[in-house]
Amino acid sequence: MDNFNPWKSAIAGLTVILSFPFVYWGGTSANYVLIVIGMIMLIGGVIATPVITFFDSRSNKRE
Amino acid sequence: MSIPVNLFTWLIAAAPVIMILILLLRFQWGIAEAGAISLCIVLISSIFVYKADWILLSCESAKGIWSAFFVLMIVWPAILIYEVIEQADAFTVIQKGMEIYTPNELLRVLAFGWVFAGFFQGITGFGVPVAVCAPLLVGMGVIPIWGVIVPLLGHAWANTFGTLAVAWDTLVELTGIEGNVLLSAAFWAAAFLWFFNFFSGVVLCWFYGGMKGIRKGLLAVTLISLIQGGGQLLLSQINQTVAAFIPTTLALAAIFAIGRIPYYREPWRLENSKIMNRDSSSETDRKSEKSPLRLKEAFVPYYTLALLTVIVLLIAPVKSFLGKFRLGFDFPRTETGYGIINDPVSMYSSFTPFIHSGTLLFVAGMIAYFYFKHKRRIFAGDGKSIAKRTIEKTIPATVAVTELIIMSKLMAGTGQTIVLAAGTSNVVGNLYVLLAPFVGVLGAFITSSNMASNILFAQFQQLTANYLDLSDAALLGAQTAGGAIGNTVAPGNIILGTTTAGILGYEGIILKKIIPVALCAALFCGIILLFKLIVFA
Repeated sequence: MDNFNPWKSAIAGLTVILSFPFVYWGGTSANYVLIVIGMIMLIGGVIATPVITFFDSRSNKRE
Repeated sequence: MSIPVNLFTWLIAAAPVIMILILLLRFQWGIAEAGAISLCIVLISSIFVYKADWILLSCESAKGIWSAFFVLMIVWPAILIYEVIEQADAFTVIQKGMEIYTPNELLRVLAFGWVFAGFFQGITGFGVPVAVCAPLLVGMGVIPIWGVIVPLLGHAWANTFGTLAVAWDTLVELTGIEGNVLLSAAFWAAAFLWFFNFFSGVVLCWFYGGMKGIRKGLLAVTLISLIQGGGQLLLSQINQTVAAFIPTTLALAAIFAIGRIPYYREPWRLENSKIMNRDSSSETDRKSEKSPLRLKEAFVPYYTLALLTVIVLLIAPVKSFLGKFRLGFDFPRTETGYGIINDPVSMYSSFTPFIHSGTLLFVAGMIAYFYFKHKRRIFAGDGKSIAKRTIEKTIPATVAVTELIIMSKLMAGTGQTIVLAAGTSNVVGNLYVLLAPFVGVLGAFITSSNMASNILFAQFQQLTANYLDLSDAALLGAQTAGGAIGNTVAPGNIILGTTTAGILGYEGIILKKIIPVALCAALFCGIILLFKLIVFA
């Protein structure tokens, strides 16, 4: 909990937020290319958070 | 084709909720990490079990990100206000000043964590009470974890009729109740909330000092609860829009009057109180080499916020003029393979920048910044460090809030939420009355909002009441009261507090302490309904 690095998470958060135009225009215009790009960004950003925490806590333990 | 409600679909729908609870409570994960795993489960179950297509997933995710922006617009400036006050060392002034004005420490905790939080819920809502009051309590010397727990419990009773009754109005609009049924539902809701108001006040005293805390605080809690809960019950039968606002404002005045009565006028505190940080006073003594600041000056950010809120939200012409500027997105009709339909919406959850709580918080924060600068409590260059600390604190919350809201949108949009509630009512029959408040709690837990809980479950509760031949007014009252109670355990609300109090990642510990209180309160409401069913059957 104490090893949480907010600046690393900034990229994850930004990726999630930036997926909005892709999922919105993809969904409303049924454009599957945009949907796929948007969902990859969304899921990637979301998954990055526990992954970052996991690796941070491992490197902290090693130290 | 209709959605099958069976053990399999019920368990699949419950999986993300169960997972988030396990990760938070058992493994003490942070909400951002637990939310990520739960969101992935929802995505998978939406596609493979609930037959959602990619367009539906895309649209519901976009709705989630847009709704998250709404909440984040509150979190970011709430942290800014906190950092401005911290930089000006105004918390030290507030702490010392309040010790003189209200020498009873328990009364001070109740004033900020219960009465002040209730006041903000009465007007703004949307997590503002927790985001604002948590750092205020920490600044007063409350241990950060408790600094989050206290306003979470202290504000929730005003959730239904607070924010000018937006959650209540939603329930009324969706269910179409009117006349005596409406008044009866308002009565049940306000009665349950009065109980929760009193109960949470007593629990806060218990947290402060066990039985000694209850003995000392019971008089204040009773008087304040009469004004808050009793006033809300009374006004719920006259005008629901101001049913929370008027009592919360009166209670704000009353708490200072109570501080002047002989029983509370003398200095009193429990040295071994588990919620107070006894080391913080020595730390704060070291600070404040800046020009002197009076108590009322230290409160400028909060006065400004309250004043702005009253002007913008309560003066109808101002509100309607500023409310003209709005931004929203249109969404098309989507449907799952099971026929769960999400109707098309234009200007979905439209953002009104000039009357949004976040704007009011931001303006109050900026006014406070320049005021403290004028008072020589903030110096050139401090602005940069305020901005840096604000950004550092807001980043983790951004991911977590977005995840949780997308999860709730996907669960609702694919029918998982309704399967959870319908599956439960199918199994328990008339005993459903016992569980009705828990359905409201579940809705608020998933969505972090009383209003959203009502959107999800109000019609379901009404249909169940008719199907089981129960009182729909009582069940609707239990629904919205449960939604209010559920706000205390909603991860989205907890994270607002942990972020502003600077203890992000401690959500599981906080949830563990609040869950028993919320479940007891919901169970009590259920028992009252069951008693009514047995006696008046």
